[in-house]
Order: sequence, then C-alpha cells, then structure tokens
Amino acid sequence: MRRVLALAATVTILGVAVWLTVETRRNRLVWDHFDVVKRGVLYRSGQLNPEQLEDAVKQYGIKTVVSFQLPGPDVASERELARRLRIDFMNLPMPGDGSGQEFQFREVLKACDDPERRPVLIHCARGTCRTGAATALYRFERDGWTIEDVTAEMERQTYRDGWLPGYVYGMVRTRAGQEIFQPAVALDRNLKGVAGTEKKEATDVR
Amino acid sequence: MSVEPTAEMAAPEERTPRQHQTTQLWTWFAALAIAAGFILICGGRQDLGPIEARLGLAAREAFGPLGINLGGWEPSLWPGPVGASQLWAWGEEGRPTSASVRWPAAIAGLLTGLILAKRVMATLGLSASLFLMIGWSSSVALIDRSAGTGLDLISGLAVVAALDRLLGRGSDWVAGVWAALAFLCGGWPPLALIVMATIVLGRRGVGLTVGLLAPPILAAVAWSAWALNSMPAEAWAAALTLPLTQKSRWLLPLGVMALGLPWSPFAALAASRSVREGWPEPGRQFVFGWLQVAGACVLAGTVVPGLAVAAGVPALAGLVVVAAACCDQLWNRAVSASTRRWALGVSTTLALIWVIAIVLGGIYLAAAVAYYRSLAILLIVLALPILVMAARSVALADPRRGLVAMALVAISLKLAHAGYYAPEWNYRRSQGPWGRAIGQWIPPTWPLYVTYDLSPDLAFSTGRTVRQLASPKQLEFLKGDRPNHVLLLEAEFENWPSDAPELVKVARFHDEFDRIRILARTEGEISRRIARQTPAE
Repeated sequence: MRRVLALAATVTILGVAVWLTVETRRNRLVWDHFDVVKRGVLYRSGQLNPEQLEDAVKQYGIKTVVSFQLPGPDVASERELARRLRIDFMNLPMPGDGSGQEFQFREVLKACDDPERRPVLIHCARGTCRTGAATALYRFERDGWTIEDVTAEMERQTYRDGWLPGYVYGMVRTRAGQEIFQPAVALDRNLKGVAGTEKKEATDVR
Repeated sequence: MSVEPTAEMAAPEERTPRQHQTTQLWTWFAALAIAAGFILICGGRQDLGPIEARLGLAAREAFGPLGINLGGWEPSLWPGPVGASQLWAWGEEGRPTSASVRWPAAIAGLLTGLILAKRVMATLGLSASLFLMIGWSSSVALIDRSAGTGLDLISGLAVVAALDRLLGRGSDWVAGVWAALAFLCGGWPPLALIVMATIVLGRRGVGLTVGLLAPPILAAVAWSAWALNSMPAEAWAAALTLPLTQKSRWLLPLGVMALGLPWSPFAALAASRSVREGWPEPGRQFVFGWLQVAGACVLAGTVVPGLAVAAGVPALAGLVVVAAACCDQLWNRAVSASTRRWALGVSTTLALIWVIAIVLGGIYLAAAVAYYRSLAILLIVLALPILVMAARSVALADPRRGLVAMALVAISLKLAHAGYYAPEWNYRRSQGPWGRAIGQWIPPTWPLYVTYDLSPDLAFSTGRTVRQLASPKQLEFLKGDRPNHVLLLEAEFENWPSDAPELVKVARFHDEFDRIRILARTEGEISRRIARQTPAE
C-alpha cells in the first residue's frame, strides 16, 4: 500500500512538474517577464498572448503598447488588438540582442513623457535584451541611475551578456563627472605647421 | 529513518571532566556556527530603511552626545549605536555604508545569543543551549535584523546582558555597568525596564543596590554634562522626552510572537507540568525569571508610551529562552502524551503552512521571475523533507522529527530572506538607486544642501553629507569660494528667490513616483583639482 501511495505521489509530482513546464514554455501560465518599471509610467514584459495583453491593458490602464519585435503576423495581430482596445501601438523593430538605434529608444522616452500616452507597456520576445535596453535608457535619462544600478536591474531581469548597459550608456546625453574634466581636449600643436607657428587648442564640453 | 543513537555513549554523569570539557567546547563551536550561519551570512547586504538610515547619516558626522542628522541633533540617536557604526566605518576606510549600520546590529544580535546560551548551558544543559542558539539566531527578528521590525539590537544587547546578570548573579556592579551601557545606547527606557525587572523578580539579591544604580546614574550625569556642554539644552531635553511623545504599541505582544517564529509557539509548552518538572531547579528558576521579565517587558512596552522599542529585544529573549527550554524537554522525550500531541500539532501546522506557501509561491516565482528560479526550485525541494519529517513525526508520535522539520523551516526561511527578500527590498523598496543617482554628480567629500526634510534613506544613499538649509539665502554665508550643490523640488528651482545665490542646473531626476527633483549648484569654477578638496563648513 505504501509503495502504491509513494508511486502515486511521485507520478503526480512529475505530472504537475511537466504540466507547469509546458504551460510556462507556452507562455500561458504567467505573464512572461512582466514587471513594473515605474507605476503609472512604464511597464515591461515579454511577448504576451492576446488575452494577457488585454488583461494588462485593463489592469494597469496601459495607453501605449510598444513592440520591439520584427514585423510579422504577431505584430499585425497585436496592432489589430490595440486598434480594437483603442490604445496606441508602436512598432520599433530591432535586432534581438537589443542593439537598437538611439532614435528608436528615444521614441519610448517621448511616449513616457507624454501624459496623454502613458502608461506605456514595452515588450520584445522575452522581455530581456531589447526591452531591457529601452528600460536602461529610461533609467539613465529620466531617473539618472548609475550604470552599476542599471546593470544590476538588467541582470535581475536575466540579461547576462554584459555589454548592453554600456551600449545604451553611450546614448546618454549628460553624464555625471564630465564637467570637472575641463578642457575635455587639450592639444598642443608643437609640430611645425605650414605657417611655421605653434598653436594650442582646447575644447570645453559643458 | 531512525534518530536513535547507534553507538554506545557514556551517560553525562559517567563522563570524565575532560570529556565534558570537550563536549562543551563542541557545543560552543556548534552554537557559534549556527549563529554565524543565520545571523552573519549576508549580514550587510540589505540596504537601509528610513530608521536605520538616520544612524548611517550620523555615522558620517563627528561623534557627539547625540547623532547628527541633516546638520541638526537627532534626539533618537544615542552615542552607543552611532559610535559602533563609526567604528565599523573606520574599518571601511571611513566611508559609512549600509554595512556600517547592519554589521554592528548583527554582531550585537550574535553576542546577545551567546550571553543567553552561556547561562542556559549552565542551568539547563548543553542541548538546551543549542536549542537556544537555534531559536534565537533563526528567529524572523534575527534573520532580518532591520529596525523596521521595531527592535534595537544594540541597546537590546546591553539590556539582555544586564537582565541576564540580574537573573544569574543578582544586582551587582557588572549588571550596573551593562545598565549604564544600555542608557548610552537607548536612553532612559532601557533603564526603566531594568528597574522594573528588579521589582517584578522580587528575589533576594535582585534589588536596587548601589552596584546596580551607581553606574547608570554616573553615566546619565556624565552624558548630561557632555551634552549640555556641546549642544543646546533643547536638544538634551528633546532626547530625554522623545520617548514620551511615542504612542502605545498595542500589537507589541503579537509582534514579538511573530518575530520569534518559527520557534515562539513552543514557549506555550511551558504551561505543561511535565515540561516544567523536567527542568533542573536552577534552570527552572532561570526560565521562570525570564518568563516574568519578558511578560513585564511586553506589558510595559504595550501600555507605557516610549518603552516599546526597548522592550522588544528582552521580550523576545525571554520568549526564546522559554521556547528553547521546552524544545529541549521535547527532544529528550520527557513530556506527557498530551504535551507531545500539542507539540506535534504545533510543528505540523507550522510545517504545513510553510510547505503550502513555499510550494505555491515557489511555483509562481519559478515561472514568472527567472532570476529567482533556482532559489524557488531549491526551496520547493527543501519543502519535501520538511513534509516528510512532519508526516513521520505525526505517524510515529515523535517530537524529535517535528523539531527537525522546524529546523529545516528555519533554514528555508533564511534562504528565502537572503535570496529573495533582501534583493527585492534593495530593488523595489530601497532608496539606494535613487540616492546614488544624485550622489554621483557631487564630488565625494562635498556636502549636499537641501531646503526641506529629505527622507533619511534617500539622503544616506547619496553617499554625501547632507545639510538642511534654514533658508535659500543661507547659501550666501557658507564659507569657501567653491560651488555648493543643492537638491530641490522642481517648483523650488523654478521659484528660487532672487535674493538667494544664483544657481546652475546640474541634473534632473524623476523619483519612483515620477516627481521631479533638480540638482543645482551655485556658480563658480568646478574642476578636478577643486573637486578633490574638502570644503570648509
């Protein structure tokens, strides 16, 4: 009797584990990588199925959905769903490693800054690289976070390659500590020029 | 699986003194390992909350009779904890971090456990001291250790040491010195509790002797003289009257019970005669003494305004001492059948609550947040032996298995705290990233000025000394010709008075509620050479 019970328990546990794995893989059990970046402003996720997206829009009052996916049937159906839900939809297709262009990421910032268009939900396929890069630029430009904290947040969202925070940091317009290194360029032209005179050049970046 | 001893062992009374000494040494080693595992691992990783951040800010200032917060005397910060944090920060090259606040509290918690374990070892035996150390170190209070729990572990160490001395040796000078330290760490409320304990205990030798009273009175007089010489009399008075402004904390008894989990419910077994009769006479006196003291502390902390913070640690200590003594009796199977059933009911209920919560929560966590997947799987796997132990303890009516299940719950609790709660706190609740965002724009040794009462955790996270200005014009009178940084709300920046020094905008920050703050500075040259100088105040 004990063996039968033990066997039944093992089979049940295994069955539940397999079912959970399959459901998670098919993205039906939970909202993939969904998280709140800033309540009422910016939310992030992986690719949600239509029911999940509709729930997210209702629950969080999302007004703009941004997809970083390449155009295709998924994007088309999401665009159609957004039209039906009467919310904005923006497609910013970029490589899966997150190496989008600066102006694309800045479109997300514009949407977040506009009270008419936010809250904004940004997503890609898994919600890690492209979504992480867009969130990183928001953290740098709007919240002013340090690169260490932005990197830690990306790692928490399971980004592991390491280079993306630095790539996005390169897009940031004002960075701490720049103004104390003035002049930014100090070049002494000691080589004999055409005119045969020495020149000093300095460039300030403020 | 059998938990019966498999090898022939000499009974305690048959052992030689050397064997006894060796066993005692191993017990101490085990107690230290348990305490280190639960209290010290990840001791300083959690960012500070608002209450602890005041202490962190004070650690960045000069040592004085009270801590300094935003440039003013902070009446809740007594010199003991501030000095401990400054001492720790000195080891960190003089730059107080969250570890400078967390580590002294963790070490104080560890020492409190050792003091209690020493007395329990002497009165109840070696195994009881191990239960004491497990119960104390793996309680929710000591795993978390944050001031948000309402406990002050540093003043608590001095209070528990004084009470332990009273119970063990009576009112002597050593107890008096501990009471003096308690005063320097937490003001008069700890002293009130110690005096109350002498009245409640009402034993011969535990009274208000000269030895007990003289050191704290001397400490209070010396501190007052120091305070009145170095700060305004209002600050001195504010420090002494602050506890009276606090409200009664009606939920203190429930709070102490919750902070003592998962072991606190076992203290109820002291109601069983079979448990009480199993304690040797000195042990019984010691346990009853702590029971009286803890009960009085809980009552006083609940009803009398201002005593709640000081009462938390001794109340918890008493609860854990009683629980450990009861668990020891359970382990030795020296309890009646009804007590055993009750104990099995407690351990099984707690184990089931944990297993259900961790399996459901773990499945969600593993599926939704990949970052915590490995932790969630580990906790779910650990839930299996907990369940098996709890089930076997009921099937065999064996309380030992129930206690092993509780120990596994405690280990799981520690893992969940270190692996999930602390990172989530740092990511979602802490002001760390928001403060560091501001601090990176200010040279490391320069102060930051604010015109309003900035939240202490945000101020601490900037990593800079923060000063509150009485008025924007005050910037004019600050010494030195270097620029001064000011953190303003957006509206303050836009409406900056024209008679105040002109400001240059440095950076703009959105906070977690999307409110905007502006970091600005007064005009003037800023270069690497100037940035490396420390401005005179």
